[in-house]
Amino acid sequence: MAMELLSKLPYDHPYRWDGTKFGSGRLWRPSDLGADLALWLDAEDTDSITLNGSTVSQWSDKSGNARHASQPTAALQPTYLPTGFNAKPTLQSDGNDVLELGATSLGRNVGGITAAIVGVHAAGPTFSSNANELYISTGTSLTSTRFAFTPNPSASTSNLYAVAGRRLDADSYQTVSSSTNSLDNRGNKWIRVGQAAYTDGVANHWTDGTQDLTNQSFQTAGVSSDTDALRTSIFGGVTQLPAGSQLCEIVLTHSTMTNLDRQKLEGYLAWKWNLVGNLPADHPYKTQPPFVIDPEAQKYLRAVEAADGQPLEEGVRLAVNDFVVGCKSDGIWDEIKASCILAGARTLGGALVPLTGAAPTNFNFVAGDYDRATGLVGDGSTKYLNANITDNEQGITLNNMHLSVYKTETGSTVGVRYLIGTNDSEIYTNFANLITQSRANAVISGAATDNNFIGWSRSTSTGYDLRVNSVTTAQVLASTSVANVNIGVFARTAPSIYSTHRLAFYSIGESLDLALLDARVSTLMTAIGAAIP
Amino acid sequence: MPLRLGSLTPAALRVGASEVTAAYLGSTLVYSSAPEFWEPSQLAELAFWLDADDASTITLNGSTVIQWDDKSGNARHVIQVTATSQPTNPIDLNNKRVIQFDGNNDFFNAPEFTTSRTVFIVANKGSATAPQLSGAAPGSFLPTWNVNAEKLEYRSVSTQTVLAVLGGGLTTEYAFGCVQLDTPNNEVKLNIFGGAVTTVSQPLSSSSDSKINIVGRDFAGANQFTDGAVAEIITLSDLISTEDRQNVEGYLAWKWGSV
Repeated sequence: MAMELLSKLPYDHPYRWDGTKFGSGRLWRPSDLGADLALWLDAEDTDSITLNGSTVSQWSDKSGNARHASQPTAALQPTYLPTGFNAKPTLQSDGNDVLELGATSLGRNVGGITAAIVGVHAAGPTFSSNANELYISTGTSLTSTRFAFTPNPSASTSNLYAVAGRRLDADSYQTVSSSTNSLDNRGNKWIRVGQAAYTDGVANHWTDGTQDLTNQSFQTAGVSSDTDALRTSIFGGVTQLPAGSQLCEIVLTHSTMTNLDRQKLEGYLAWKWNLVGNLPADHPYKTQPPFVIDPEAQKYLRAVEAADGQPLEEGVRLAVNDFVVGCKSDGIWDEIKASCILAGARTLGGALVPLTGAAPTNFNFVAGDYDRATGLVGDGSTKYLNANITDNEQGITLNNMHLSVYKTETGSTVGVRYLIGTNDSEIYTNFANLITQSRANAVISGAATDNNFIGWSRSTSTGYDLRVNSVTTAQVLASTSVANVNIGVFARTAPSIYSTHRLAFYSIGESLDLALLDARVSTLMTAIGAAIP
Repeated sequence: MPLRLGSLTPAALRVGASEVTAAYLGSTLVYSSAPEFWEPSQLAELAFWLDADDASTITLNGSTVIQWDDKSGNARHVIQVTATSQPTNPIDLNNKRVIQFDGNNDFFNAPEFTTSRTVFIVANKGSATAPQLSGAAPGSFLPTWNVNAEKLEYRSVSTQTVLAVLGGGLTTEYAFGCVQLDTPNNEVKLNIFGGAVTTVSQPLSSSSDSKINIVGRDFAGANQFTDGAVAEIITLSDLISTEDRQNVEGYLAWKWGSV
């Protein structure tokens, strides 16, 4: 079921994309790509389609750059099919149709181009050599192509999806083919992403979220020519797409899009055009579409703002959202079973809202112990949090567990000072040393005063990973036993052995990649710090 | 926006017997009694509101539902005292709970009221061939998913005939729709999935055609039970503006349509 009810709201319904009024998120759209967005043609947006009877005389650009594709000759206009593509609108060629843009700055003086297209080729017809879905050219011939999509680049590499073009006007035309056979894929609807990474001198291609051309050498490294494209064509260019070819949406950016943005774009297109089934099982947007504000992040932010009694700064909201989305993209989100961001919120109450899992029980912390930028400080005698999760539940087992904290200030280092844990699984300082125990101790000499991410993760009985100061080391220490008691933060539960350190984050859960979590937490802390006035 | 008094959060702020709905410091709103996010309770016309995912409104008899409370404030709770006719409350639609009928004898009796002019419903049409989710004689206003025709229908309470239909190809497992009775103009307005409103001219009786008295069973009584499920029903005592209709549609779509 997933998003079906939501995706059936009409395209122009005021709440088709934005559910924040109802306490939910806002769906990601190409307009969220910002200034890189150079061309956006969208058949579902009927306001962008100019009809000449049943054919399309203009397909208007939604990027804000007014790069509208048009065709004044009726016989060359593609047909508009209101429910032709998975019950949604599409433009279909009769084999001769083409929409044209005149001179534009598409691809001019840029470090890269990334384009995504949704469409289908009819099951029967074959492809002419150098037929194009999209063709941007500085001249009128094949060799003047700056950037193009084609299902059939040439006789030598026939019937493979490919990207083609030149970086500099003086370069020779080049095609780089994916491994996906376009003839075999006729009749199947697809999402294709092509990329000319000019600055790196490579090209990439993805079909339905799976990369089928990886960093193939493409021209020389540098920025493309500083000349306008004389012509851009849709459905054709050198030669036309065969009859029955349909195009639904084209998004082009002047950038070598990051993988995160490329996956968002694929997710957006897949959920919009009912092509989620095409995405591979491990695609980050296989189970839900991309959100600007992730629903789980939104739920957390809503709770924090309710506790604070006022909204957070947009920068804090985005920092939290990026953290959640990033952890999901890294595949470590589900492993985090209990966590608090002890920074960013306006009040102590907001800071103790759980990001995931159970809310901690506060023992003796008061408002004055909390700082929005640096977190919560212990008193070494009475103040701690009961995380309300044991070291033996919710998938956490003897040999499948992690603990982490983000320490921002070092308090007293006299004697043992607990950061998080039980008497079997813990992180603490002992004079100058940082001690971690994953059912056996590891001592990091002199690390007690280092302020950053600290974590350990055990996934086997024979040892565990320890991460301090951005370095992960493998500790060869066998696991022993579980405590089966709730985990403390700022103290060891029973409680005892309190600390005066200051913490801005903690997480408890199953084993995970500490380097990935460290990167996300560190980025979160930096972003929160920057967002707070 | 919660009200705080020290560390306490009073439920309401009153001056004498009158509740303060908003407070300002200068021009800045510092307190509002309105929900933090939009929900149907903000509609003055709200007459009847059943929400299957609100556990506080569900009274269980073991694993079956004996009572489903009305959230409108009008106490129009629906009840089934016969254990074998009680539906269940499973998790189904995007990890949210729905009321699931068995297609054999499950249904709820509703206190009869005739003040509904606008009805929203989120429901799974089920597989039974009979029209469903309406009321037994003497009829009910609740719209019907016609499984065979794959359409949203509104049927006359008095004659039980189909007065207005919309759709065809309504093949999704769950759907949501809206039926409005413009009694003065003798028009029935229908739309599904928040789409364009279709208007059908039809003589209407203000006294009977807006009646609701049963949920989960068709007019004809025996053999007309649904094996579908209901997620939410919202009825309003009058026609509402396009803006308010879209608010309800957005509320339903984001609530039931997002993961």
